[in-house]
Amino acid sequence: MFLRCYADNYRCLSNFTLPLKPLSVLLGANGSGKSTVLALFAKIRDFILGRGSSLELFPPETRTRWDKRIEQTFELGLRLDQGEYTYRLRIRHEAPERALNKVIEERLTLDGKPLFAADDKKTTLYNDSHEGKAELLTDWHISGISRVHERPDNVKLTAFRRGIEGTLVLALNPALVSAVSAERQSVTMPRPDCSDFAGWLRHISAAEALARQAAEQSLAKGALPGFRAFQAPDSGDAKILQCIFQSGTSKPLIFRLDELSFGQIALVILETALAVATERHGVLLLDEPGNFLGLGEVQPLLTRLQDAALEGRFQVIMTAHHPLAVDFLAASYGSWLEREPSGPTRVQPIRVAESVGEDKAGVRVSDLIARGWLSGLGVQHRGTSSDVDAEDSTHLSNVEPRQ
Amino acid sequence: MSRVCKIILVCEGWRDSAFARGFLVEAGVGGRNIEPRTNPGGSGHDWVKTQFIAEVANLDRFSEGRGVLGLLDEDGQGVSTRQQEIADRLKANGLGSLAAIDGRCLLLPTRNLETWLYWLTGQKNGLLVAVDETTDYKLVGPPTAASPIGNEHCRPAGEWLHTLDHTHLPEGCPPMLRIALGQLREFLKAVRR
Repeated sequence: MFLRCYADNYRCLSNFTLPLKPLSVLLGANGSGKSTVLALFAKIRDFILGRGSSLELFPPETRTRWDKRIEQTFELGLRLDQGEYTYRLRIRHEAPERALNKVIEERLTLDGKPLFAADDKKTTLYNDSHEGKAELLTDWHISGISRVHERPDNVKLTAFRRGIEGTLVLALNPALVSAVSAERQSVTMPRPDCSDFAGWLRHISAAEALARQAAEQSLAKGALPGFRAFQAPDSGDAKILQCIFQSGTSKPLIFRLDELSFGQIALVILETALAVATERHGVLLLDEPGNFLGLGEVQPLLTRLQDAALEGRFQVIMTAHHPLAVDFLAASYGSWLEREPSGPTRVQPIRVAESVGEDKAGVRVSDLIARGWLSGLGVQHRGTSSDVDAEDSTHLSNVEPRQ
Repeated sequence: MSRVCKIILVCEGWRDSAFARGFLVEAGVGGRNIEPRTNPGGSGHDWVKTQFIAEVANLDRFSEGRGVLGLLDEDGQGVSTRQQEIADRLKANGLGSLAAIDGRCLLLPTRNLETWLYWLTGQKNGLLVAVDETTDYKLVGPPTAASPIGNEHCRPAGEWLHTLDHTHLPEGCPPMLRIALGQLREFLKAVRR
């Protein structure tokens, strides 16, 4: 479970700290930085796993526009069975005009003890007893952690990497989802928009068959009435992902994935993601999961996400504009993000007074947000977002849930 | 076809909701047919009372709904006091009295939900544990562990409750849990109609 995320000099995130819980819901106006936070998780994950270099993932335009500093800093706190990991990454943009940068610090500790430390000159790999046993070749653009081979004496480091592998970041765009996957394409991690879902499902079918089975069962049981299973027949050099539905006759109805409605495609992807996150005991980051779904499907999804997070099956970090999501989750699990047009993102937890009662003039959280009243209820602009504390939280005293 | 929500569950928080849904789903009610409504601010007796009355009124207005199930901790206020509070509000809103067989059911965990979780978790693990309805078991670990009762105990406790026979409950069952199980059996008949 991620405990916190820190970013400095990255887009609208300047000296920004986000504390995280098993279920965290990010709220705020358009442009407040919610999606930026989720996308950052995907970038750091991809960097640690060697799926991209610092040049590809952190080009100069990812620096904060009004900030003249040339260094970006990122930090993640992650708790696994082994203890509490802290991952730190610093990137220096020495020649932004030529899109050149280099990693000047990559460091991993477990409960404060070193597992990996690299600067631009020296890379040291520590064993599970935290002794610096090996010097590795330094690479200015590729994560050193991604290049460590799994061995009996670095179980702690490889456990961290597996924890990071369990991080799914989804910002669905069903319009981009294709039913076609190339024959040899192995998609171990989907793109956030899930345009490569067909390839990802092929990978899951081979590597995490139980998750695919769970997704199929869940879709059949509720979200997609009549759904029976996936199939992916060959079509030349590619495979076509199809969904098999029961029909009134003995012959089933078969649709390509991209023939389904946007809402149905979203349901297919979300069910698969939930099944995979459960199987991996991982982290699911969802950007507006209520998008595209019919109203009747939103509440069951939110309930399942809440159950999964609070029962410890996987962590959920999500953004929300949907009124149902806001009213159901925001008061207990919400963080409010806001920023001035040319200022950094600030974050504060949302709290609701326990004295909410029938004798108060109740206003729903979603109504407060829609009316622009939320920021007037105690939000303080502080020097740094890391100064968040309970006294300065966005305080809602007269709130009632959606009827 | 889109889902039809048949049961509205009104509770103070997620734990009550998980417990009740554990029971209902174990009894064969589809999870998608239950809509949990929990107080956005955590605990809040007034909120539960208000919402419960509102949803009972909705049940009379909309035929698609089959049942409203509420959970309200007694919390040392007295069961009869709690029952009278609800009865007064029903009357003030022109609503008839509660009857689980009509799909209008209010459970009163006494002293609170953790009393039931403590006893049921012990039962589930084959332990005969004694509980009383005045101790606050939020502060006491489950019989099998040193740590306090956690979220992970809620749903399994509800599921386990469904396996018990309310006419032959094991010795030591908290009195209000015995009553609640009887109410829940009646409630199930109502929502399955």
